Amino acid sequence: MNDLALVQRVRLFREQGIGRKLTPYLLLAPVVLLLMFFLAYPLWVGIQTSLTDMRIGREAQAQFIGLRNYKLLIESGQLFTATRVTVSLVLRCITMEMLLGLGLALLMNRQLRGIRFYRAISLIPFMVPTVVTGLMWRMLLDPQGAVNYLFGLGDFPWLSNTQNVLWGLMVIDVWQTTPQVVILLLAGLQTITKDIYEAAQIDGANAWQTFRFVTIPLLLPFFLISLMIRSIELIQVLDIVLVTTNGGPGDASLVLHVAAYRETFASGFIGYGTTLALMLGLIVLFVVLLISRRLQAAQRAAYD
Amino acid sequence: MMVKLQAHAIAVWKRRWDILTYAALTAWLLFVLFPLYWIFTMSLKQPNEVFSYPPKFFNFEPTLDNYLSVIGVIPPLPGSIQSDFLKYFSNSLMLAGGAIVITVILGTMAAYGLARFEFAGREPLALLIVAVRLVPLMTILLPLYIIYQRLGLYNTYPGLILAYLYIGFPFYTWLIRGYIAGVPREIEEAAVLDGCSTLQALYYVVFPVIIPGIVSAALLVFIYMWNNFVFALILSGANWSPVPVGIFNYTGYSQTSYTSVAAASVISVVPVIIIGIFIQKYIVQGLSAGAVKA
Repeated sequence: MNDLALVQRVRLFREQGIGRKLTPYLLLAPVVLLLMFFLAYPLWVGIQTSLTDMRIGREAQAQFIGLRNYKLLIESGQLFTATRVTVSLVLRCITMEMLLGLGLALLMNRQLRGIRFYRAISLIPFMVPTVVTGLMWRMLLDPQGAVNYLFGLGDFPWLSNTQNVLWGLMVIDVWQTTPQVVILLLAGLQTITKDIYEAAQIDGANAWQTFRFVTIPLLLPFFLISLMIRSIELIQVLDIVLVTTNGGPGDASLVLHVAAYRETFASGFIGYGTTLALMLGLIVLFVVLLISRRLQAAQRAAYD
Repeated sequence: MMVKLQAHAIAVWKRRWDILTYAALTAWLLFVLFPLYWIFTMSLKQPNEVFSYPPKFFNFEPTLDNYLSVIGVIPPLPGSIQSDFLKYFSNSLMLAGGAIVITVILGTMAAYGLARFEFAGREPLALLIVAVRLVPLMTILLPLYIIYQRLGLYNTYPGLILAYLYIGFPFYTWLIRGYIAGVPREIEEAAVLDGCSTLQALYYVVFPVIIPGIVSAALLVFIYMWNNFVFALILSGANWSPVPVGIFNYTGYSQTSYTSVAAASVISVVPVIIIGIFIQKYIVQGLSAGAVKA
């Protein structure tokens, strides 16, 4: 092969990738089909189902009832109540997790002996299945359980009282998901290199000024991203509630996602449950759009 | 003199600050580890010691009966989860194991397509792969419950493998895409010059370079599959339930023997934590890269 042919072959490769034009489509066909089957198709069936009075076990007798499920959802106040419970839980968890995550990340970013051990151990909750987390904490937060005993709280009803249940759930969610926040913020802190701090020192900044004018602005994008991820995940909180309280006592912890599950499988109204689930999807979409716009603005501000 | 004093003061403050740091981190560590310690001791207790008050932290007679009964060596304890656990465990292995093999093969190819080719629809597809996490599970799972019944996929191995693929395949593709993008193009060009086809270049040249990444990503995704329970809860009946669904069902009964469930939990968590420590670095990368680039 002469040089010219070689050059041409490489140019062809760069222009088209390797091989024929069809190749990327063949490579990606499985994942596309999977997404069609698990996203597009269910959404389509879901919208159809939400317009019927379908019930579990009697799917064939479903009647078209128009928007009556949507009307019922609003008029019964369930959408409002479940949204209020969800927001109430999300706000508690997010405040606690972000503050705790920020503090821990700052501490774990220090160059101290044994700090890697602390980092490694604090990853563990991320690997524990939510079912086990729920089971564990149900025992620990029992009125007669270890937590009340250790902290001398008498028989404080963490999960069995409508007033406290969201605080109890917050403790559990903080245990399970704060590691995620820590990991992301630590990754952010590690992008701030030594020479940036040195430059600040040469300019005469003291510790507080360095933190205020170097660390905070450079960490802000990471803080916002992890705030966004946690918000999106928390609005759809499901597993933890399902395995600990299942929405109870009463409806005190009946968040939107659990309500959709319970209406479907406890009450059997899958048409109505699907309507709730679709509303939840819309709410998540709305929040994503809202936050990502804010995030872009903040990122622009941080890098300018 | 002044300078010396100042230096001394700074050192004192630094030491105090260090001690505070360790104290705070140790408190956090206890918060993280205590529940795990508690469930571990629970798995070693006699059933009647579970709700003893005050709780027993060390002062109990450890027994292995819970483990032995869970894995079916001795007859089930009263109210315990019996030997079903072995079935759940093998279900979990077959589901997560089967899905991970398919994910690695098809996912690596998909990631290669995304990383190396320009084609119409690439950006929307990449976005869609990330957006999978934004769709609430029930929004798709309730319709899928109907779809699975209609298509005869409900409570079948192929149906559940598909669901497990959905849990891991897109995320795996996203992770490996980043990995392949970091491999210099020149080495594939060299392979093409030597007469390789696309798949040959992928298999002989790119694949060996990114094997560490593939192993870690596969293990990370395996953890997700192993731990997931909502998909199987809705799309499977008793004979294909994986471990998390099994544990969930047992906790629903008031007669549950907590010691046996604790033993089952420990058995299912330990392999995951071992894998997790092994791929610790990659978990950090995976969780942050997926987020930051999104």
